[in-house]
Amino acid sequence: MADLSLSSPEVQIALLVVVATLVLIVILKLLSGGKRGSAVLLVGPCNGGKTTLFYRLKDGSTGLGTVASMQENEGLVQVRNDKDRVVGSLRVMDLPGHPRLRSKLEQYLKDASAVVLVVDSVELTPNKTEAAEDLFEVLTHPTVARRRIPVLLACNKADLETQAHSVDFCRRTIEKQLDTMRKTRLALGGDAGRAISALGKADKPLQLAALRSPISVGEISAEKGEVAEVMRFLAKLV
Amino acid sequence: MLDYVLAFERGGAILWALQFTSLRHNPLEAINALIRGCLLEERLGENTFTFNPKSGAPQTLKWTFHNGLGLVFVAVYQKTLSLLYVDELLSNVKEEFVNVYKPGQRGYRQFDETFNRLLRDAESRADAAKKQPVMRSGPPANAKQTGSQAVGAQAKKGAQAGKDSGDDDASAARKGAANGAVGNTSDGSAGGEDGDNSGGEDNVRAFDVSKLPKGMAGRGARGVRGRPVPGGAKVPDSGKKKEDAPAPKVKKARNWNTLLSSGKGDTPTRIDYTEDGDGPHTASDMDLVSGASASATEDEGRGVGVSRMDVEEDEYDDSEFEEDEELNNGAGRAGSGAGASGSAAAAPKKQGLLASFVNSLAMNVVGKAALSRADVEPALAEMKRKLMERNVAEEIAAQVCDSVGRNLEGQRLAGFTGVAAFVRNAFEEALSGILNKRSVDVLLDIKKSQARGKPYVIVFCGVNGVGKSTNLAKIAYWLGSHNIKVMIAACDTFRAGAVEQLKTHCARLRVPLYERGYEKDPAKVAYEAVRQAEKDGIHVVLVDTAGRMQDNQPLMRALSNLISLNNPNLVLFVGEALVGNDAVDQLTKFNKSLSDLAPTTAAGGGGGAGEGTGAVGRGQADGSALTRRHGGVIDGIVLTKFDTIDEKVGAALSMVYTSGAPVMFVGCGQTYVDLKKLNVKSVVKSLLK
Repeated sequence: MADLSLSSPEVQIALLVVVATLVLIVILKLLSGGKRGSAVLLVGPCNGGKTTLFYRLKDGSTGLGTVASMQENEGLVQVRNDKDRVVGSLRVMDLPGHPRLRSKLEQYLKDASAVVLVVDSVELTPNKTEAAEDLFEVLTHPTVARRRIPVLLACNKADLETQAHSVDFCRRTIEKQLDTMRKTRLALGGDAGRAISALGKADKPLQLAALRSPISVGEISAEKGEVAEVMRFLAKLV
Repeated sequence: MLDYVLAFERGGAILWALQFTSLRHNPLEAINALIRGCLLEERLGENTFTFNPKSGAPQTLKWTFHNGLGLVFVAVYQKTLSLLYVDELLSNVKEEFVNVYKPGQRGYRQFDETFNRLLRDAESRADAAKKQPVMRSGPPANAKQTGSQAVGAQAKKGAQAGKDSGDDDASAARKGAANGAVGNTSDGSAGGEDGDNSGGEDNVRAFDVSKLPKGMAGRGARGVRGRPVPGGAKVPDSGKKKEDAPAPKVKKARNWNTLLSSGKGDTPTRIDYTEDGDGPHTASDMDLVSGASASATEDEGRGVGVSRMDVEEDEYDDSEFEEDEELNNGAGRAGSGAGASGSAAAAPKKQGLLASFVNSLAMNVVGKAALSRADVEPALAEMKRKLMERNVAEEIAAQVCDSVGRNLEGQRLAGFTGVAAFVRNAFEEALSGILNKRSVDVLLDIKKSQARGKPYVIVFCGVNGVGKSTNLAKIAYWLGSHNIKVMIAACDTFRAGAVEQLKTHCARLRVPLYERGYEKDPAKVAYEAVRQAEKDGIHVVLVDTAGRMQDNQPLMRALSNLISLNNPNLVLFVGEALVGNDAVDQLTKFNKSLSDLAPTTAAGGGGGAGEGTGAVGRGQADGSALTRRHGGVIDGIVLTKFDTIDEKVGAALSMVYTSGAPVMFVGCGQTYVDLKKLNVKSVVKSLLK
């Protein structure tokens, strides 16, 4: 065996190679945009106003309007407190609501710091099943349950006053849907049962306020710019 | 002429819009319908989309993508107009817009002028193209014009007609130049669309199907499977079984009593005779009887075991997959390196060797160059071959490959991925997206209708011999294990032994059977069964129907009648996993016949409308509301005989893509517990292996 001292050329070359490889790996990681920070997710059924809300939060305006999203939007939002001072910035992600792109939700929940469920308060009843399913998937996700990620149920389109349902109605409808869903999914047993414990005990009717992850409810209008509830929610996270 | 032009990001933000005419409905409705109904459904191969607004005339939408920047350009115009220049205009707009585009900016007022200029250019070019042939070849051209206009009038889509008449003129002009005689050119004027058809017909006539021997005629007309000719004698499957039984006299009859809890009868012997012995997927009788199942309480009465629907599948082993991935990637990168340099060298021969090497290096290593169609072609062709090997129907494989190709065009590779790996990832996403459909939560819906006090009606339909009755029994077992009261309605009043088969199942499952014997109207039997169920407080009614060929009009009409009369909550199409290209045909024809042949109701008016208004809560079919019906009557698919295929799982993809309905149940054996959910990850893995 050769003398393995630091002065010998073989050891030096070996060390150099190792260091070079490490440096290369670090560079690649930075280049590949590994922004593994936590993000706030905007989820909800189709046509709820997620993309509108996203642009309202990010730019302060809705521009020329939006169409159904085919892909997620990501951006930095300047969070303002009640006195309209910027307290920080958060990364916000707007996920498409189409069922075909539903698999992205699970993927992004892994490093979410908070979730905003945007529902259309005018067309609540036809979409209540999907809204409840989204909420169900969010709440029973292991990461969410473990970290007790806060959730905000934002009832959008409050500007259509007469047609929009009240916040209480939205909350109760979603609660009822979740309750029924909990009972049926629990019956299936297996792993699903463990995850559902995050939704509270099955014998009591489900209360959003009583769940492990703190869930708040609020009404907003992304179109008209009344998004104070969301701003307050985000301010708590900064 | 044009109603509306729009440029938007894939993320949803509208970048630029121009409205030409005032419409009664919100123009964005059409765009949303396009996105939800077509662009997101991997149907990028079609290049027009028709939108029927609630008020106003139908509109046609054409679009183009800029995949590099993630932009979409859409032009909307009235369907009745046939505008020839739209495609060209859209591509010009795309090129011009890229020059002014700045990421993050929304609202490009200055682009209006550019667009108007492009529009004027395109319109004038289209007019010039129309006028030119008339001036070139005098009298024959007039005859050609009228001839081709007649052809054009026959064509279905207005836009297509415009294109075809243009093509007719061009091809006829060429033929005229070659022959130089009016007679010939007038024959040639029947060219274009019609010519192709007549040519095709000639071919068929030359090969006279009726002259073939009887058996071959059936096979030729039907396909490989050789199913019985429609309307003819329905070969009873039970007949075949009866033939086999008495032949070997020494064969000991199997005693089925071993499956019941009493344990009377012979000791169960090995049933699985495949080479590897008792496979893990077929539970032997011994296991079932000895109660190796988890929940003992529910099965004491049955003694058969927990339905595999309720058993969580082993989480798909990611580590094992990654090993394969690496091997494939290694091979893929080597292959793609060779492939990319090969294709780069083959196509433009002018590029020197050094240039092509740098090009492939640029793509694979640095990821700067945008992918062109030629780069992905070999990988796409490979993928298509792979999919077809896995029993995906040929046209579905072609459509999926085409739409993935369109998505990839113009995208940039991330650093260090080869073309093959990139294409493979795109395919994985596309296939997962197609198969991951929002499935109806049956148990939830049953509870809802329980609350309303009405029975939940499920109808099973499909072609002959796919396993409707068997899987119906399995689903009855599964529902029963969740304490749901089930009733079976025997609406197969045609096939000998169908009712007895269901009687046997009902005796073993201990569920009531509603039957009226044979030769009765199935629709009425189902109706009375539902009424009986309501009286008895039954939660779910499972309706078994006779198997029928998708081409058999009277039988499809009868089925459609049954569905519209009883208004079931769920219509399940039962298809076997062994089916090949016929899957597409079966599903399209079932969907089409069931909606077209629906009897008109007083309130409805049209066949489709009758179906729509008669069926409460069926949702609209315009793609805007999230409907369970993707433009069809079938709500879900039951994929049967899944245990007979190992990796050739392509039928699942064909069926889901064609109908838009999710696969709700998978039958994987012939005992009651052999029912499970579709495991999308493992299906996609098998398809891409």
